[in-house]
Parts: sequence; structure tokens; C-alpha cells
Amino acid sequence: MWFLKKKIENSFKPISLDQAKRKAKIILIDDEDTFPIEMFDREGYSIKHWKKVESLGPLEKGDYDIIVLDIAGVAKDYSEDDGIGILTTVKEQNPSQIIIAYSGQTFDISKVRFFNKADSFLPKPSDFLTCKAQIDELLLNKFNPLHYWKGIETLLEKQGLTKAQIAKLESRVVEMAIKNEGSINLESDLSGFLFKSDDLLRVAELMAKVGGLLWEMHK
Amino acid sequence: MKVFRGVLPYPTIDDEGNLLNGIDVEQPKACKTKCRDKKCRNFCSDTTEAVKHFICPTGFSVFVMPVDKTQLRINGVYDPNLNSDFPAHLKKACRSNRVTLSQVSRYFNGMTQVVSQTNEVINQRVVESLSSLHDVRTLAGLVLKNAELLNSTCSTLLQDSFELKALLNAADLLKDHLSILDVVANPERKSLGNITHPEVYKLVTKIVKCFRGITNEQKQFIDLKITSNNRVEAYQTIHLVPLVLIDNAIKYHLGNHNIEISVEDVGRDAVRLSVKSYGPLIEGEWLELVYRKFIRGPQAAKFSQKGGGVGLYIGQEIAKAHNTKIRYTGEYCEKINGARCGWNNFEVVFRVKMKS
Repeated sequence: MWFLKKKIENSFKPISLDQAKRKAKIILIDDEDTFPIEMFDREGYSIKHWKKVESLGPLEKGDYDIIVLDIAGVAKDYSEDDGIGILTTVKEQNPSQIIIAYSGQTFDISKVRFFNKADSFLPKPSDFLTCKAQIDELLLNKFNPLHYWKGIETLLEKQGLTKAQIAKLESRVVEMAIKNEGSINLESDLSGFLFKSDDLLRVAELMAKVGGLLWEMHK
Repeated sequence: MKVFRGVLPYPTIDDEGNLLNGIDVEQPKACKTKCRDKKCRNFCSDTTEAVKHFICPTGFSVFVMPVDKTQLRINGVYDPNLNSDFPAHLKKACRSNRVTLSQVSRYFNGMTQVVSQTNEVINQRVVESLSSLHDVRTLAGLVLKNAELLNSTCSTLLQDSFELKALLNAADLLKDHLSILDVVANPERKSLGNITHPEVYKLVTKIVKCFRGITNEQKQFIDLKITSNNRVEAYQTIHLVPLVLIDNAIKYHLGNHNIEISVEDVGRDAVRLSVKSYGPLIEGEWLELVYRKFIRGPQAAKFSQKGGGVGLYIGQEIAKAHNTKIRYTGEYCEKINGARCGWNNFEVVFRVKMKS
């Protein structure tokens, strides 16, 4: 049973939706008032509303856990492509920023590739329960180290690592996160494998997320 | 596709195996009269070149290329460079069928450009038309939001109000019909967004509730039988499948029978939705045609003035995106106003894990 303790799923208690709700900061950027923001307020979510992009900094820095972004009429001052430009810029600066594209223009084929850049999309109009279901799922994933670990596993498998090797790494990650207060460095562990630089970068990014979340939950 | 065949100089074969002459080059006799297998219809390969070259058992060159999501097949020609073993006895008779890859590629590039520009223009028109619905969407959103707010804030007395429920349901249906419009205009919309894991019975129950105002008014009754717990893997548009099936059942339902809807688990792997109503049957060629866009069966218009022939098309397209299919069975019972009527049963099975 000793090895089970070192698995991520045995090393933390999954965050509840209530905890995730309290923790999360959400921003809605929409020039209209169709999003059921009052219902979210009532349910205890912290959700801020900008009628248009007021500043790019907080969006790029990751000040918000989720950005619900209308793609038209919200960012003409910042980008010729309006909300689509913001979506592209923020994702370039901070790929792990969760963005929900919220739009009434899903009939436009030319915009599909932009919708696909977002983590999810909500058609306009959407009812409260549909919006809530999407936001809840994304929040629970965001605060769940297992969600990021699954991404790492896929990348490692792609790299040719065996299940046993991945399990060993998982164990090291858990140990290291607790010992080094969330900081994980697996350079020596992975040095024997030939990673594509993009994949390596992605693994490092996901590892940082896992480490941070594990340490936070351990505290 | 037919448009392009009409301007193509070379002979082609379509998916049904029909041989078509080009405007400059005709089908050779050998293809028209002697070839029975028509193997050129099935040639395919994973190679990366845009225009692929094959040689058929008779010895002719076959060029295969993708145009507007379908494969265009030029047959009955020969390329002297790529097909040096072309039978000598055919060379003389098929002198005018000598076509090179570069000639075909030139046409292919031209067609690709035309298709792309045509699609762009079509999309622009769609966007222009549907953009005018922007205000409708905003208003629908405001009605929905305020009805929900009212429902959550008001006293129990008002929450029990039939009118408030009817308002909520109507707003919900309006929202869904706007989504249907989006899928008609943009087929990629059906699989847009992240994968969800809904319980089908909850979607169906909600839709049945939404239609309650209409069914009450028409004195129709819906028997809803649920024996399901499974969650299925699905796109956000999955609810539109039960929506169109139930909407159709209500539109065409006749007589004193109840509409029967069941949602049942198929073991642990799937959920089956069945919508059974009594009305004009779908028969013969209409079994296929009803799933086409803007096509209504001959009895449909006779028995209901509502509907534009997009419901089943949308339902089937969304079902296909989930790697499944709507299936229909009919059970003849009697003639009503000269039309063969009976039980219409539409079934669709959604899987817990969508297969790719």
C-alpha cells in the first residue's frame, strides 16, 4: 500500500464546488446584459462585469480564474478583431487562462476557429443552468491537480514513457511538491528522454500547476 | 459538385457509379459498355498529394481530388507520363482522352479557388442575414434572464404560477430555436465547445416541461418513462436531438393516443431515447429524404402547417456528430384522410463514451 500514498489522487482531498466557488474570481466582458450575472451573485460566485475591456493587464496576468468573453463590441479600442483579438492575445500571453467565448455569432463559419481557441463557449442567449454547468466544470478542473496530471500523462506517453515510468514520476512529483513547497524540478528525471521543446515547455507548465495545487492543499 | 461537373472538360464518375461526360472529353466506350466493376469509384489512398493518380484494371488513369468536402473522380483518361503501360489497342480509340496530371491540377486549383470564394460569399450572406437577428437574440436573452430571476426571487405563490412557468418555457424554447438556426447556417456549430456529460433523462424531462403549454393547449398527453442513470459523452448541442424529435411528435400527432417517450439505459454503455407518436407514416424514399435540409414529406404539410423541414436534418446531423444515428420505424394502423397512418417511432442511442 505504500506506493498508493504517492499517487496524486491519494495525496489530496478534491476541492468541493463550494470551495471552488469561494476561491474563484470570474470576469464577464459583455456589452449587453443578457448573462445571468445576478443569479451567479446569488449563488455565491464572485463575478465582475465589464461592458468592454477596461485593461488588458489583469486579463493577461491571470487575475481572473475564468474570463467569459463576448467576441463583438467589447474591445474595439484594443484590437481590430474586437473580442477575438483579446482572446488571441490573452491565450498567447497566458495559455492556461480559462476563457469562455460567449457569443451570439455562432452561425458564422469564419469565426469557428476562434471559438475553438477558447476553452469553451456559450451561445448567446444561454440559461443560468447551462452557464453554471460550464463554469462549475471548468472551475473544478482548474483547482484539481489530477486534471493537469492527465495532460502530463498524455504528453509523457506520447514521448514513449511506460506506465511504470510515469507512475514513478508521479510519485516524485507528490514528494517534491510537499518537500519544496510546490516547486517541482524534474530536469534530471526527464533528461534521458528526447522531448520536443514545445512538449517539454508544456510539461513544465503543467507540472508547475500540479505542484502549486498540491502544496496549497497540503498546507 | 454538379455545377463543377458541368464545366469540367474531363469525364467523371459520381458516388452512385454514374458515368458523366466532360464538356471536351467523353467517356470512352470501354468504360461505358465493357466495364462492370467500376472500381475507379473506390480508389483511395493516404498519400498527401492533392490530386491522386490511380490506374484502373482496364488500364485507364483515374484522378481523384477533394472538391468541397467530396471526392471528384476523373475517369476514362490516360496520362502518358504516369500511365506508360496504357494498352496499345485503346490508345488509338482514346486519342482525345490523353490528359496529363498538370492539366488536371490546373483545373483542380481553379475549382478549389472558386469553391473557396463561393463559400466565403455564401457565409457572408448568411452572416448578413442572421446578424439582423442580433436584437432578437438580445431580447430573447433578456426575457430568459428576467423570467429566471423572477422565478428565483418571487414568492412561492408566484413560482407556482402557470403563466410564469409558461414564460420561462417559451423563453427556453426560443433560445433553443435560435441555436437550431445557428446549426443550419453553420454545421460546425453542432460540435463546437467542450464535451459535456449530461444525463439524457434530465434533458428530456426539461424539454417535455417546456412543451407543456403547447401540449395542454392541443389536449395532447405525453407518457414519459425513465429507466436511466447513465451520463453520456456529448457536445453542447445534444439537447437539440430530443428537442426536434419531441417537437415533431407534437406537431404531427393525431387521435386520442398519448405520445410515448422513453429514456432507458442500454447496459452501462449507452442510453436509448425513443419518441413514439401516432400520425402519418414515413415510407418509401421519404425514409431517407426526411433527413435532408428543407424537405418535408408529402404528408407533413398536409397534417401540420408548422415546420420548415429542418428539424430531422438538424437532429440527424447532431446525432452523427455523436457517432450515432436517428433510426425510424413505422407501424401501419389505418388510413386517415387518405394517408397511411400509424405509430412512428424515432430512436437514438447515445454512448457513455463517444466513439471516434
